[in-house]
Amino acid sequence: MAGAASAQQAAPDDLGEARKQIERNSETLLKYEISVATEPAFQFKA
Amino acid sequence: MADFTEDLYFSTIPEWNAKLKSKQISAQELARAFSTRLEKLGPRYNALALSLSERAVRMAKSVDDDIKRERFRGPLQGIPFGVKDLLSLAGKPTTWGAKPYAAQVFDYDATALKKLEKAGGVLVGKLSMVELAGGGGYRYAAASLFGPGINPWDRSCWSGGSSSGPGSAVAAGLVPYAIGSETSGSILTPSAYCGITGLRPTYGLVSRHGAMPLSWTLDKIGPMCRSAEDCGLVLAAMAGGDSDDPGSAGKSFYFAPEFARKMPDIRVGYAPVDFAGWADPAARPAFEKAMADLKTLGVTMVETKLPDFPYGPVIGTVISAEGASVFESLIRSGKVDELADKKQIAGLKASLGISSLDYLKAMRIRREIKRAFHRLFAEVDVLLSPTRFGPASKLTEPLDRPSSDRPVPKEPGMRALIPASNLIGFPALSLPCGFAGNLPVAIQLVGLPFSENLLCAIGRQYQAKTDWHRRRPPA
Repeated sequence: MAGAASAQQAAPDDLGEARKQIERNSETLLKYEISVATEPAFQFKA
Repeated sequence: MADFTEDLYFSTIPEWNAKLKSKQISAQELARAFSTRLEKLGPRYNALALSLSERAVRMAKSVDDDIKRERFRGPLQGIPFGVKDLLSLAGKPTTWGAKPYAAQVFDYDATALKKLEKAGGVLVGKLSMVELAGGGGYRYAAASLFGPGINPWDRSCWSGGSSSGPGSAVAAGLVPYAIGSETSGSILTPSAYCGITGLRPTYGLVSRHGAMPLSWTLDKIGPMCRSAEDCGLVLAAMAGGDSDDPGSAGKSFYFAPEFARKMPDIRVGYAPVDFAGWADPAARPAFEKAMADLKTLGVTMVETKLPDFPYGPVIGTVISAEGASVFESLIRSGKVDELADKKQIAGLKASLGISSLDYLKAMRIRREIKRAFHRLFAEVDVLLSPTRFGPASKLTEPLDRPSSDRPVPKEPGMRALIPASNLIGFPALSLPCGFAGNLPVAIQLVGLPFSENLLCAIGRQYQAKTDWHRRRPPA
């Protein structure tokens, strides 16, 4: 069972690539200029 | 006992309704016939998660009693349906397509299911899906507890995801219609790949109470059917406000295509590069014919393009951040490693590292996208593009790599219409429009929030002039 579980572990390159994708997304978002008046697109109903 | 020919299994909702009301067939006969067919053929497409045949026959008996007393509850009464295994049904397993949740049982029914059963719908089975609706990103079609969704048009190809079972089951005539869900593409993609008609409703129109959450601000529940008219009929039964869903818009939907705006008043925005540059060459003749057929309805075609935004990074950040919160305990406990797809495991693990600043920035850009789309919709009434730019991929093909080495057009056209329209919660209808080789392809229409009646009216007129939605896969 332990062998089967470790076989299911994400390969290091998959995890690394997933983290890099998050970094790339972050850099793209950072470059996008937005008005200070723009609120996030979710609503809280009191 | 009615004679169930192969053709009969591909009847539309109004056709079944007429047979039931005129007592040519009983709801129990229908429930038995579809349950048997789903149990027999569902595994052939990895479409069946759980047969509910005994329960279905019990429900159908109650419907027959109503019909005998001439208590008609509407067009869905007595008609079987299936549901993606992401909606809870009290006392039965709801697996979310994922091994860590294989034994999960809720003690309440999803609101959408309750509404369909109240309308007389007969649930015959739960249908397969990509594990956790693919929230972590996945590499292979096999990313599911049930194995890869197999396309009834070509069993070496994928049915699309994440509503794989609903796509295959409707296409193969195993259920008259099914309920799927979409966060970004999960109703439209299997509908297009399997040659059926799928409707992704406006965010908040259909309650998600009892549905697996992946992204609270993106998730939608919608019908996958044989025709645009069927989608309108099913949506009318499912839609409506629900205090159990914090995202509920509190609105109802009435399907009345006769009261939709007339076709000559409709401006259809499209980007020529979608059809000439982005589309798979094998699919271009079908897409061009679809454009020509739409024009014959009398609509005005208007060249346009999507506003320029980083749609991919925005939706990726929103899904990852919300999904990480939903599945935090799964990820931290290590049970995430039981998932089938390594890329999905890695994607979920990495998503714990998304910063709140990135999430908030994505959500603020999302606000700007919405504003820009409302400006765009001052010039058009609906947007048109291929649903997917080519047919279904092979089962063994990695989904995260380009399927062709064709040069990429410089103009983006509406290639990002699926993530863009999901980000702003606008509705979309996917209509089969022909074939690329032996595989179906489809167009999508995107409208303003709560314009489902218009989308279905256009779809209904398009399908009155074409027969792609009537085609069925080889037996």
